[in-house]
Amino acid sequence: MSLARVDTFTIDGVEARRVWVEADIRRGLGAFAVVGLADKAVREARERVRAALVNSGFVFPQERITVNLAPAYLRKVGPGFDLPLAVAILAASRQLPPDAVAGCAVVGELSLTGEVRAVRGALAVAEGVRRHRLDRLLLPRGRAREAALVPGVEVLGVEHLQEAVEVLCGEREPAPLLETEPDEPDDPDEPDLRDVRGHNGLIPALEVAAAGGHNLFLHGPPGTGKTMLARRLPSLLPPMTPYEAIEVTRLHSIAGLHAGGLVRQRPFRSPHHTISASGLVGGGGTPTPGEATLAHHGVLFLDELSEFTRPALEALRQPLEDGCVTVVRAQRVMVFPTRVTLVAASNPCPCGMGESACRCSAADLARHQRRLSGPLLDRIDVSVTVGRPSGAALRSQSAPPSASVRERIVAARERQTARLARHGLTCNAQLDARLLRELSAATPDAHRALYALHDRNRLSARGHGRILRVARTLADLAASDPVLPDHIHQAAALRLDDQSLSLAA
Amino acid sequence: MTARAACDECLRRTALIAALAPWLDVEWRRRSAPSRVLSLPDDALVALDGSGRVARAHAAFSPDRARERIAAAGLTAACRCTDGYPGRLLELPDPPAVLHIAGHSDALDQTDSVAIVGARRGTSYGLEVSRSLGRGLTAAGVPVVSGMAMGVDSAAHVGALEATAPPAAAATGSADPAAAAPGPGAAGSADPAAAAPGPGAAGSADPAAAPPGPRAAGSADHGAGGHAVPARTAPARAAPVAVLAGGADVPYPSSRRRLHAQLVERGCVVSELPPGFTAYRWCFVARNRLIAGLAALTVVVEATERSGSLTTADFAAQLGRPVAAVPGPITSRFSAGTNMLLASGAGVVRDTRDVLDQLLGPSAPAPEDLPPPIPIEPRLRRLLDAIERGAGSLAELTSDPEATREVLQDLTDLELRGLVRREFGGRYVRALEERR
Repeated sequence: MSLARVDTFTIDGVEARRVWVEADIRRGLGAFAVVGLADKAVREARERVRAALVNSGFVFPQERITVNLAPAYLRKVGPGFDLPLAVAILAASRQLPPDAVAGCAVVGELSLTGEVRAVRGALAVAEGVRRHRLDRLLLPRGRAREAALVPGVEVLGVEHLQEAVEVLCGEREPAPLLETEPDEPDDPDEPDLRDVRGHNGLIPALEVAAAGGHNLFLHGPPGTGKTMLARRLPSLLPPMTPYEAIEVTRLHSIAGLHAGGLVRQRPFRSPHHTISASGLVGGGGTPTPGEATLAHHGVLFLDELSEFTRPALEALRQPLEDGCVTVVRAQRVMVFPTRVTLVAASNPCPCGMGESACRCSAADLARHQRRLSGPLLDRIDVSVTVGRPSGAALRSQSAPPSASVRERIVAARERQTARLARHGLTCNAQLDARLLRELSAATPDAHRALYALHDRNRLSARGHGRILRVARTLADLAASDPVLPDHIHQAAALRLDDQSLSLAA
Repeated sequence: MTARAACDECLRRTALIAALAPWLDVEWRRRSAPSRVLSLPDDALVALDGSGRVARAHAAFSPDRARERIAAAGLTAACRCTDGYPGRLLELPDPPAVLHIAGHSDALDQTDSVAIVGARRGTSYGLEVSRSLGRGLTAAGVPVVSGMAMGVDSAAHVGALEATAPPAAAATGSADPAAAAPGPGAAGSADPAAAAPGPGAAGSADPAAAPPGPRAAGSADHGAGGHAVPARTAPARAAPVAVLAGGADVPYPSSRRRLHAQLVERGCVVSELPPGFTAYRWCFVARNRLIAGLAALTVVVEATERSGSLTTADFAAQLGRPVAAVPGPITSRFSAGTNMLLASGAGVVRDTRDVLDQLLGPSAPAPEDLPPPIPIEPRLRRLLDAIERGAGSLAELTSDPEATREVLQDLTDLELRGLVRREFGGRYVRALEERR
């Protein structure tokens, strides 16, 4: 009779949870049972482990093997339990000294040859290892660099089961981590503003959106460059802080979007309009993060806003406000972060041809506009029309490179941080009505300008706040402490009216 | 005070037409002149239904039940045999037997009103013009009649309602003589839900709106007594009138519920069909004849060549009443119908004054003392010129990202002066100058 226990982790939502793999071998008919709320992939692990052990030159005990995955209430998902299972059996059958695995977490998938294959969420696992005060983490070598981002954890990257055992026994030094290439802040492949031609007049709108974190609405016929402009917004946002980068890397790694070291570019996600509500904000039987979470600290682009289903848009409303999604399931509550800058785009009408050539009926238009005027527009501060640039504009205008525009944006963000940090906020877009009144620092003249606009255009209270928020950002971009009437006027020319839609059509 | 009632015979005929409505679509198409059907005598109509079911119902008709139903729906009825019936409608070859009225039935006693009709799928130009005409005419004391359809019709009503904003909202706009006009008995109308804020600068010091013109005098009759009308307030001066194809108590299209409620509150909504009736295809054409019949002048704002609005113009022409149209670009199919009307001799409408001239003759009081337009700076002028040429998005208005701040500011400046309008999404278009 012999028993061994190995630490491992499973991904639950966006967190790593500690799991113990307990292997018990006792005399009896040859059998191999895995218990402890394991999913299909984990139960299949039995076959992989058996083959991998034998093919790596170890003995698979022909006795009664019981493996328990504790805690039993936690659902265990995915193939990452192969390696810990194999290690636990080796330790229980004394092919590996049991104390070799003490204080070491193990994750990894096995192939039948004993090769160790990559798993998702290595960074989250490494964070879990540190949180639970374990010393070492044995994992596939391809994920070692990512795990090594977490300080204070000894990362053992291995490629084969044989190698894993040797490393654990101390018979072999783990392969050194690949030297991380020097940090390149500017990836030449990242879309840059300088590729944009003929839209120079719109750049300040992007600049404002990036500087204040304001959600942006692009309205215009198809093929005019709405997507192209949206795609370039991440390059204007200030570089991610190390903390943000780690967060993004963790999320992307869990979603399997990313392999390697730290994610440095702000994410840009543009889900198709057929996406379901749970695809957008996360959910499912075993809750997994949605597109909004994958766009955390970056840009979520919804092209053809009016084509998205109403439930999907409704589901997005609260996350945009709170910066996180709360998914509630029968047994637990999960919180996914979703601090995104939303860019929404829409054609002027369902056929997209624009006024003169449009063939849409009055009812088509009404439906289109009804869907547009839905819940999300409340959260959008900046709106511009993207027209078809003329030939002359295409030839003559080219936009400045992102880097030069970003300098101003970074400066404006620093001013905001100085003002907002003690309220736990990072940018003007997060200001609620009360803080806006307190912190906008609008001069009396600016307030008068706002009221003049209010009377003239029948702004709603919400519209009022949006203009003031954007004016605050414009003042920050101009390095002005108070908000001046000019800023109010500029902001008003970027506003989104919710009334102009419903008026008549 | 005009007593409004409906006699048994007229109610019976209305019920007959409503019962036959499903057959009339076919009948309507069979007869070349549409209005022939509705001018048939009762027994000829009864004969249209071979089954005899309609005939039995016709014989068993109870006028008192019909009156109860009308009262229950909060409507007033006026039939063509009584004084309360609008005299203009009697000029039609087939005046409706009964008019069902929701709201202030006095609104029908107003003198010369103008019909503003047009495409359901209007362009922003059409909507803007329609709304401006509705507002301008109402402010000048001329009631606006339309059909509450989507697009141009609704915009005309919206404009008219803006100019009849309830006193609570209107009083906030500076010392404005027009704001005080809504007449006696208007005190209790401060309904916050309906308080569409006054059109800002729209009413400011506008002499045309001020004179207590003879046109407005006719409507000083506020006797709604004895009728089951929710007459909480007096009708506004130059109260808007909507004519529906279905029952007057059924907002159609349903998306115009709020508009319907406001029209009932400040003007009236009428229909020739009984309460609760759902319209058939022919009802819309029949409705158009009532719009043309109620108005002294019909203005078509935007219409394609096959637009239903043109039937309204046809009815007006058959009545020998003037028709006018708003010109549009010859490249726009939404102006093809109106341009065609103009080519065949309809009056040209460029602004509210043109309508007033055609309605009352060129001697209409001309607001000569209108202040000259404020001169604008060359920089704004250039921007305005560009917008007038059709450049509306920021990218079309500037090519220098550094200069865009200034352009943004200037755009709001122009907007505050009422020279441009920001459309949904952020395109700028030239606004109609608000001279009335």
